[in-house]
Amino acid sequence: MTKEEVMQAFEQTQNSFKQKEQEIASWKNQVNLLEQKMDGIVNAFQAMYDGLDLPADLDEETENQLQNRKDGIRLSVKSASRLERKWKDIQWPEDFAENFVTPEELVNEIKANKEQHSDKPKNSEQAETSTEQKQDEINTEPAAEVEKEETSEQKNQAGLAETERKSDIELVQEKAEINEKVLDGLTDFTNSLQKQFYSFFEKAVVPVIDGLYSGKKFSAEWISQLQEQNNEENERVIEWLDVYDRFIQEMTEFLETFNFHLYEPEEGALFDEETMEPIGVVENHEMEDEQVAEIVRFGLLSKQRDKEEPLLIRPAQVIVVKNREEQQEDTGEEQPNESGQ
Amino acid sequence: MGLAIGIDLGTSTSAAAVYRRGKVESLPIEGKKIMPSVISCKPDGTTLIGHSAKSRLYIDPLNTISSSKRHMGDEGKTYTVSGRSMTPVDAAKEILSKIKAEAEKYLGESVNDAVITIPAYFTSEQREATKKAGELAGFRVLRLLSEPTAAAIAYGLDKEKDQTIMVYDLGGGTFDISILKVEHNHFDVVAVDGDSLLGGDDFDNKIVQYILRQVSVSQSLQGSQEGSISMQRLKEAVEEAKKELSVSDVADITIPDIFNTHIDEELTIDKFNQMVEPLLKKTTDKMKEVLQAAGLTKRDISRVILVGGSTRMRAVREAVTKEIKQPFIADNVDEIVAHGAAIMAANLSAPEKDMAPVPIEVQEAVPHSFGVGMFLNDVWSVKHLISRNDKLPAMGSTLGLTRYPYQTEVDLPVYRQESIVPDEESFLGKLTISVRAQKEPVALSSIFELDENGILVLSSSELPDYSPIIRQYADTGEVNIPLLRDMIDSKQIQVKSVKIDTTK
Repeated sequence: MTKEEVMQAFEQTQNSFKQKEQEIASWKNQVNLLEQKMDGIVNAFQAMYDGLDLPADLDEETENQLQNRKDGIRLSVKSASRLERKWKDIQWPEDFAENFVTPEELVNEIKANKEQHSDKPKNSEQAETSTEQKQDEINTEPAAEVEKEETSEQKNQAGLAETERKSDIELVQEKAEINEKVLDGLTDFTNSLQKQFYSFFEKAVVPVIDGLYSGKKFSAEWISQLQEQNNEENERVIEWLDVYDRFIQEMTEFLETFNFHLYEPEEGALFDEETMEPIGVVENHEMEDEQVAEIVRFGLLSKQRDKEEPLLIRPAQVIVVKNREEQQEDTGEEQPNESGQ
Repeated sequence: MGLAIGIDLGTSTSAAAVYRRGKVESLPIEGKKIMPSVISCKPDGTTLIGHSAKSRLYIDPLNTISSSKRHMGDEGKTYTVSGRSMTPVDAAKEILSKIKAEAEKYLGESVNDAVITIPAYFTSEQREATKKAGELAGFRVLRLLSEPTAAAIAYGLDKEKDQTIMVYDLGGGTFDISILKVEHNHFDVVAVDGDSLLGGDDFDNKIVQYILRQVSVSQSLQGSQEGSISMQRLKEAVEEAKKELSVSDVADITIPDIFNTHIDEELTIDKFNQMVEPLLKKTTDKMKEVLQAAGLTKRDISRVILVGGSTRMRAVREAVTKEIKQPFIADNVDEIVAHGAAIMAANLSAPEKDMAPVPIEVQEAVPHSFGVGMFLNDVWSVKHLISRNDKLPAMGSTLGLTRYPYQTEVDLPVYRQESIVPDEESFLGKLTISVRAQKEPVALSSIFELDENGILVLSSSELPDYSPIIRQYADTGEVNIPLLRDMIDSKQIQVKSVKIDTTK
């Protein structure tokens, strides 16, 4: 590598380090916010559940059914209360800055290196003065220090000067490599933190909504039955069953605080293998093959900074239409291409 | 020269890695470190590979190929997907092409060289098929590396003193156990065994069945569509609970509105261990068997290393500790094989030896015994010339005599089998050699040579009467191979050879 390339590589590590520091600071804010909001959602869920009295004077069957709904909600509240336990504490890299070589430290190293190799104390003093004068010029400082050596050496000291000059460039390169290793370590850390973050929302937070969503779907069937029998008691039951929406709304807002969004494809949409996971097929001659017949579970999206397209964290689970006759006409085969066939 | 990558071409999932700037990194494939080994062909002619293909497995199984690695090397196997005919080699080629494209996109340069891993027990035809798939995908296949060897390299065990390593590999659907000897950076697979029908999914299933018993879910409900959706939810919850039990003593399985009820079960580590004990015993029994096959005891094992996502279970670590010793476990057990392959790839592609991450030599074991059909004590038998677990390249030789006066031809059939009773299903091919017609029996030599890529060459020659090699064989029961070589080189005897068509 040329001297310029070496200096450029060192300076690049300084820029990257600043970005990483900002990124880690941003993560710290994010994690602090998560810890606060987790506490908030747990309390909100518990308060909503505590205030969830069954309507009075219901017939026994309706009361049992509603109690069963309440038992299901209790489990969702219980799952939410475990979120804090499922979030692993972060071991923040505290000493990374100590290992990172700043331009000032590099100048000092070059100076020390020069003093060590030089038998001319006067030159060292000049170099020191020169460094002090330039201490505010952060990125150009080491380059200037190396440059100064190149131009100030005398011809009759060429052999020694060559050794010193080479040593200084090597020193800068060595420090750039140290910095790159620190940056690699920080990148590994932020990548792992991001993975933990996504995984926490996918595997711990969203399953709470999944449970509520299942309850809501179950209730929706019941509601349609109740609506057919138009009476006052049923109205109170239907009103009570709105509770699912309130819990789901609370959790959805929690997700949105962290730029996560539920992904719910429309029924009738064409199956998309990039964003959906089929967990069942049904025959439905009212619909085309590979249309989505039912959404079984929401997907999860994360809106990313500086990117238009959100990142899919979890596909939506769907039931897809597959009409048997067409299937046979298409393939003429009977066995899937799976192992052991 | 571009970067060389390591590829773990797995049955269920594949992974890739590269060694650069002094460290190994997993290569993301569509943003993920693991890619399902699945290919799906849509009616419009689009070919999907990986996650999107796996999504189609459920709705379009007839046009989707999964687990094709199980059929590698089987030339009779053909898939027909969306009117297109594909062999297991074509399927592997599609997966490898996808990996190549993703690696190039991530690394920003062309990737032409690769080390591809294969199970240690892969036969010669399976090895050839894998290599062919790699070449069709546009790779120069630097080496086919056995999975346990790759794992040991990734664990850095090449850097330590000479040792004997046991590799315990429990994946989602298969279990493999191998013993390697490492001497001066020289890897030698000395024994392999396993169970192709045992994996982490069986452990999950134990918990699923336990929960279903607890909540009394009827068979009819389980079989219904609603039951099938509930089962999917339960399996996901169980998988999470299993992960939690790898770090905690208790895990909750709390699922409202499932199977027309609510599930709220607490699973303790003791209960889990009790449930999976029969499965763990199968693995520890295999450990004992492989030790016996290698002629070793557990005291001879210097290190045990764990590979495969299912080895994160504490029960596995405890069982291995109890049976042999405390194992090593890496954070990235799912990618460890690809990491080892990446180190090997960098090692083989480094322009100078000093630039290689580690100088490694790999010697592998023969996965199956090979023998020639001949009459032994008047009984038609297989005489093994190369035995299972012999080192590759392997060689074996025997002498025989014509059976009848004035016989003019001798057939030398080759079998790949452990038993000495010939099994026609294990017949690989044969060499027919003409012999001089005489009243006295004519002696013939047979030599088997099996190379690192598993190619078997059978050579045979008629021997002169009263040749010293015959006398020596009669005295010692051993063929003097150097003498036989001299006779071949000096053209005292003429050899006829055949490269066995092992794809039959």
